Amino acid sequence: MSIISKFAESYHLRLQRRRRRLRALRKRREVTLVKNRSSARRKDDIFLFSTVHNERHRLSYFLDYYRNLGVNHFFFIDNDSDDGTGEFLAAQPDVSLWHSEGSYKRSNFGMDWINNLLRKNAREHWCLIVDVDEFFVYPHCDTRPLRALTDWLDASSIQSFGALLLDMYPTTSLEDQEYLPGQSPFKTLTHFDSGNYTQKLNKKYGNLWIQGGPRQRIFFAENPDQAPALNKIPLVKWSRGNVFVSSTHTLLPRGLNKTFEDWGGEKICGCLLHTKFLPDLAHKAIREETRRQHYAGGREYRAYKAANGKGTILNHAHSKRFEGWRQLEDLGLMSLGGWA
Amino acid sequence: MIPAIAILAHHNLDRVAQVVRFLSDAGLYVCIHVDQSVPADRFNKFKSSLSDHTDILWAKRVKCEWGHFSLVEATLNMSEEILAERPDAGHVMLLSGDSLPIRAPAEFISFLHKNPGVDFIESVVIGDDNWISGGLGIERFTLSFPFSWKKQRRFFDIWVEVQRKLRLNRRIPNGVRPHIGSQWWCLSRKTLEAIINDPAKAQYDAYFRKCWIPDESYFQTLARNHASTIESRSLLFSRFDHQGKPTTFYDDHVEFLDKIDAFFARKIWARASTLYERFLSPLPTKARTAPNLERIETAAHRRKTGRGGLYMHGRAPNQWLEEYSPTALPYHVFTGFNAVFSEFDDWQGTHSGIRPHGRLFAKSRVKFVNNGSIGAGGMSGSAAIRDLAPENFLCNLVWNTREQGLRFHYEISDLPKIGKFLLADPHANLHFIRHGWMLDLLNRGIENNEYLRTTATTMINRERMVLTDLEQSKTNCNYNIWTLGEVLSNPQTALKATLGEANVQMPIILPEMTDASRLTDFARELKNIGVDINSTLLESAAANVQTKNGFKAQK
Repeated sequence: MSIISKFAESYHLRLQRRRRRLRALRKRREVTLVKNRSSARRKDDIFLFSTVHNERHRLSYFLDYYRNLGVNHFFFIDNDSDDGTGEFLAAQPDVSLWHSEGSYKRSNFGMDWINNLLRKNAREHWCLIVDVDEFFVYPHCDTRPLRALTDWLDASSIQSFGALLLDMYPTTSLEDQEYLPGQSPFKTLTHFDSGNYTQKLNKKYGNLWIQGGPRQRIFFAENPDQAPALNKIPLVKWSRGNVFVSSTHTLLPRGLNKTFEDWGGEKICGCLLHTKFLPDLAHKAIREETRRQHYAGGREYRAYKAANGKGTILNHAHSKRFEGWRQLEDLGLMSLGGWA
Repeated sequence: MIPAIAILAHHNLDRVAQVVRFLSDAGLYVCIHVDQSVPADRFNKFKSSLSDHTDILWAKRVKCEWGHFSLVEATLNMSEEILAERPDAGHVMLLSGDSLPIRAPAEFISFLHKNPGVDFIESVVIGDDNWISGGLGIERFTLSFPFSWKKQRRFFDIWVEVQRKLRLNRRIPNGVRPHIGSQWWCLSRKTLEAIINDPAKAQYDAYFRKCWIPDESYFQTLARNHASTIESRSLLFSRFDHQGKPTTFYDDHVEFLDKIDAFFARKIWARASTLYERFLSPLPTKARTAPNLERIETAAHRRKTGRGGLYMHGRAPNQWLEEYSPTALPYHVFTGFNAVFSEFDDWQGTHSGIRPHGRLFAKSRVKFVNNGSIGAGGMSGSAAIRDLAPENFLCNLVWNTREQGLRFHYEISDLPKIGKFLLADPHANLHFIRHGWMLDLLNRGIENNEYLRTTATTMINRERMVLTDLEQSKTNCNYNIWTLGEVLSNPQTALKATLGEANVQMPIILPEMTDASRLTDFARELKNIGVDINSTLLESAAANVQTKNGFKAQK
């Protein structure tokens, strides 16, 4: 590539980054503050940012999981829930809460709101940006808190951390499950696909585009290129000027997307255990499809809806039962990448 | 004689205070140097927290910068302080603020008591060692480094390049024979005094001031001029990764550190409270066994070379840079065998221990072993998913079967794209029967001459294409090509070869062969309807087997 076109491309991305940030700024009017407890934060606190919509029954386990890892403060945007999500969150001592009635879809799936909160609160902090059904797993997470990881990343001059979105599923059909608030979702969602992920490089943003897993296998077997992306960058040391482009798949400036090594070695990376397939999925698929607030018009939810109700079983003879991070590392779904 | 501990402290002063208190209570002399960059209030707080330990020595503070002479200066300040104030200090052990004693201090004291006058300093000649991980070698001594590596990296790198290009080398002064080693030494009083009182010290200091990372070479070099007995090892255990970053120890390293044959270790994570609690309390004397470095080495290996043939969020090797092969392990591919041997898969299963998959790259769907709809690792049987990235599909399957090995059928009418990939992959072992498809066609008993002609011609053309590709320079695979005639007359040799390196010794029971009695007639019929059959391929001459890096069985 010539120098000129290289320059043009990076200028284009710079403009795009600015546009995203302005857009986030514009969208801040859609978001109103409910409760801000973030003033007591300390310089090296670890933050978590998330957008929620009617997730009341999932929240208590979610909060406990991340508190246990060492998240110091939570920033939530409640997108117009009516199941008590807002009230529950507002009562938590380590949560700051915003409320938005705006359209999830037109706010770039909540990313505009999150970008704005990050801009205002996250500078120079390590931040996890995850959905309520995503559980972060990293090397040594059973013995070392998040702070050990972020300290090591700081010492290694690494500012972003990649994770594969790993869909967890039950052994029986998706409809036969029960889930009670506070319960670990991994009591029911015990299995995963260990080796059917494909990747390609997105030249424009320099990130990997990873697809595969049970969702591609079952719901997108005929049009696999439309299967959801599983590459995520959930942990970022936030700097002024950073911005998420599409969900947590892509960041700008694009150097942050290079969570992989391209000359043979492995960079440290983790997994996000995805608990989408909890029993409420069947109801949720109907609800979300009517709401049409998701990526590509809720195509994913439509696919689930079509398959659900027929006794969908994702489990198969080669499914692996989840045993812990070391198993995922051995299987090659994540990597120690030099962290002994 | 009482050993003295010199501590270079920068951060986490609470932890440093804990270590100092412990060592001082154990009867060791302690001298502390606190980085001048630590703000006055934090320094004063730290100092007053240790005010009950009046015998602690405080060295003159300098502003420390990693990689520069200031660290040597700080160390010299501490050494001078100790030599002047503690006339009965026999040894000085240098530690960092993030070190911990991992054996009882009494053991350390008695060890040095038994080794009076011995200098424990890692000191090796530069060049013939693997000591430096990820950094400059002899150039540390011959170039100059006016820029900060941490804050002015770009200028640092440019200036190094400029000096290399212009061959700007500094002269190494007489009396300096460059040696290098761990910063954390334990020197005897005699040697330390000799270094400090050397008449040429001012000249040496001026020289080392411009060297890179002199804390790993100043004492290591000068000790060689004065010491009587050097034991070239450090009494402090530390490890560097390939980027020159020290390995950090956490609570889960307790057992590991327990086994280390050294008196101290670094670097300890400041929040590893289990480590601090355990090692800053009375320890039993315990026999040391060899520590298991496997965990550390695995992590280093992951970062450096990674697992070949694995593609994931942290590893996406550039096609041209993948060192050897895009796949993880060797695998075997069979073409034409199913047509010749009716129970080939069973036979393979018993003789090689691996039952081969069917035609993984058949156009209609993926044919996994035993007609399974899902393969190892959750690979989908959908042709659409496979065809989205067939190379990825194969790499994944090789990775997923890395414990047992992969064998599969690939017929010439299958996905052509993957054919090229197989030819280029050094891990592929191709076993190819030319015109094997004829038997298949014969036994299908096709009446329609038009269909027969088209199919046969297509097969001949595809076969020719594969063979032409094979002669290209990009071919890296191992292959054996047999003609149908050879295999029919001498099946043993071809079959033996399909087993690869494994199991060549065991007696080979031949599998049942497809009925080929009508083959010559069939060839004539094909010729009569206009198909260009090369009859020599059906003859039994066994002289012209094509192989590349052929298997032992054939030699």
